[in-house]
Amino acid sequence: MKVVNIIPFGPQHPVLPEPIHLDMQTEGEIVTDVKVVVGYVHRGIEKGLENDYEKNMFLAEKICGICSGVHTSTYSMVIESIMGVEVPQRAELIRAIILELERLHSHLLIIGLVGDAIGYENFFMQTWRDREIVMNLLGTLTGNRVHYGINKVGGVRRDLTDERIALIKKAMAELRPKIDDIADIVYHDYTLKKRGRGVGVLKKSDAIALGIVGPNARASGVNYDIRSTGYGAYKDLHFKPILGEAGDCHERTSVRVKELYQSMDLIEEALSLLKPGEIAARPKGFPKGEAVARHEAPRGELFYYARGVGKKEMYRVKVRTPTYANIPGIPPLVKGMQIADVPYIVVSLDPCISCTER
Amino acid sequence: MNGTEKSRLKSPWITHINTGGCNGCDIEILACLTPKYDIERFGILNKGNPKHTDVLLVTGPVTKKYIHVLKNLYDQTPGPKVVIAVGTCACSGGVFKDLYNVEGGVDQVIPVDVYIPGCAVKPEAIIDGVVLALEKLKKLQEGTWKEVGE
Amino acid sequence: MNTIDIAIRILLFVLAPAFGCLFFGIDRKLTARMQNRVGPPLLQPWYDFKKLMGKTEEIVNHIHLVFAFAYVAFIMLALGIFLMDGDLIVICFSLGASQVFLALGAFSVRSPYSHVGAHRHLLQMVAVEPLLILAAVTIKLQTGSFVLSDIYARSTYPFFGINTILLLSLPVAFFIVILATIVDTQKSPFDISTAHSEIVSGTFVEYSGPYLAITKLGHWFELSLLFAFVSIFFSSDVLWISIAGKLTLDFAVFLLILVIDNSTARLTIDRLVKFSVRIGLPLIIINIVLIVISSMGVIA
Repeated sequence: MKVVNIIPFGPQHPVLPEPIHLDMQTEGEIVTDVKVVVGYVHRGIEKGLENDYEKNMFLAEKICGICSGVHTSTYSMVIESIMGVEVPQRAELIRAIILELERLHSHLLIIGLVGDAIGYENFFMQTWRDREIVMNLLGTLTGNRVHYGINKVGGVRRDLTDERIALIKKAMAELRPKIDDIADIVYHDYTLKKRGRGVGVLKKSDAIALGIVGPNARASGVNYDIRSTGYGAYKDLHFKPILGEAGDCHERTSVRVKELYQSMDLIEEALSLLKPGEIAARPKGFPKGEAVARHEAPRGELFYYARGVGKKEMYRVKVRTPTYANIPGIPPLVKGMQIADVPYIVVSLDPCISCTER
Repeated sequence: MNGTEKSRLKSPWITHINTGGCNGCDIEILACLTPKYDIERFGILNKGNPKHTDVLLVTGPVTKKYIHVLKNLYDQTPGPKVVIAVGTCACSGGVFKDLYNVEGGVDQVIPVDVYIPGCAVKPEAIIDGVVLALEKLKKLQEGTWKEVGE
Repeated sequence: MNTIDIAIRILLFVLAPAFGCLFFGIDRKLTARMQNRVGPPLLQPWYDFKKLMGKTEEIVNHIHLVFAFAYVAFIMLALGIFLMDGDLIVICFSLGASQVFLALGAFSVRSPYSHVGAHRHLLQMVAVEPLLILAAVTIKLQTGSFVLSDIYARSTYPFFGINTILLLSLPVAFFIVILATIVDTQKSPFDISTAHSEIVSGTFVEYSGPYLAITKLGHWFELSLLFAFVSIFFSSDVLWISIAGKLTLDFAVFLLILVIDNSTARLTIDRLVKFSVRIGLPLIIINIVLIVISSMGVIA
């Protein structure tokens, strides 16, 4: 009988903030097989969403703490689709600005965690110090650093006054040189490239076959970004997906850095298109019918399906989050790599386990 | 208060345990280590190993799959130790209280010393909570701690 | 040696862990400043040590503790031999023995992280120890003896010949001692056997409470020993020049290690072994060949 050496990773581990369990079979330092065990974060939210359609907003928001804005935006979009509510242009632009700010903070977070995973603590500290600019801005605009509560069915709850717009412009001007510094380290640092190049390579054909979404797929050359479909305010904004080629860990990090620049440009463009107007439309009646809504969350494609039967309570809400599609990518990427590379590979796929398990 | 007791207050090492939350409080705990809030100036180190820590920062409503893991981690930590429940979900279950896979609050599983409410908890509140936990430890050592209601 | 000499050496031995504690405190403070933070007070490692001594004892198995004590004992032995101006080769092997005991202790528990850490620790020894011994060999070839009292006597500053100041004539040996310091104090890029984000604490994962404090004491002694090694590379006839020069050299190496630590990510264990085999080994062999040739009088 062959003796198998199994190294456990998680559910409590210093590099991952969330519980996930990997059983890695190793020979020496090379991983030969990996088994992923999930289920520690499953709370039963979809059953809890069979409730009052306006109160559901607060439960949908708490599915994930990092991408909570996009969950509420997609939920609002799907209910507005069912009820036929026309959202005013100003509300769409405010939603787009908050979503792009959220993309900024989420990408800066995961770039920092990459630094932490490979032992480059200074890079982690620098990235998170610069992320505080975005967090402060979000706190001032919406009232809370995390869980903004900005969306409601029909529009947004808070307006962007002139002084808040001035704050956004000032923060973007302060942030740009700092992101230049971070980009310089990611593109040119010797040890970062040594740890990332050729590690966890995802080929384009595998990415399509496994259904990987988000910056992970774009780094392998798959041209898939939901913002191209022009939902919400994106039909008025100039947008082109950013693609990479090599598909390894370093490429995924580089694509995220380029998306930081793209988000800052989109915010400035959206601010220039703001015209005075209403910020919310009143929905009439109760939702009856079914609809589907998709958004590009920082991690990939977020998909909501909802069905109402003419009552205040929703009959069914289904959520498919981007990490749910990305988790099957972990075993093929980790096989054949060293134990030391596993934290970097898992973090570079940007997993959000609380989104996955709802 | 002798030297060891003073040192205990000057060097509390933390482990952060996520029992199934939405990740918001965890990100704010990690943000406490970064330059803007810097809890290392209090001697606090983020050690991932329960055998090396004194303070357990627990977030999230405890899901049923995580109960035995949480008990295991609590038993592995050598005394004297302090448990801090960070966030509304850890205090009482929060938004998730009546869902089918949630036990509801950390104190259903292990004894809790300090509760920090908030959704998500601001880093300033986390620092405040850790300082309160150290004061409780100091008073427990001196024998002057009074529970609420005594 | 008269009694005052012996008393000073015993005093240095007792002060060695204090020096190690202060070094780690300054290290954490300077690292924090480089990361734009405030950082802990300078005596923080002392507070950590006292707190750990006061925790309740949770013992996994007794042999685990025996190996921890052996690790500390052999480092103290190496430092003691150094301070009594003993033999350089015995010091190198005593240091190697202490690392082997640490790895064996980590193998004696059942945690897989401990085993991976111990395996990496042994590989790290394979990468660094032979180079350290070859460095000691070059010092012998240069000064004619392994014994420290002779080395000090024959490499002193007032003889202006460049071959006698070890720092200038044996740069490769100096580079190898710096490499050994980085690896043994677990600093980037070579903090591989206690990689925090991969294997939690590696070899130290199952130690807790007072026994973790003992391993920290061993760490402080180890640091003092390595900096004492660095200080061999400068010595002088005049006492105050000797002390000032050694302290300056130690301080310069300390700053260099700190800067390297803060500007690199962690590399993998095979990179460390490849580095020492492909770069360290050829360089030290070239240095040995050059010394042998110059001593045969071919290069005047």
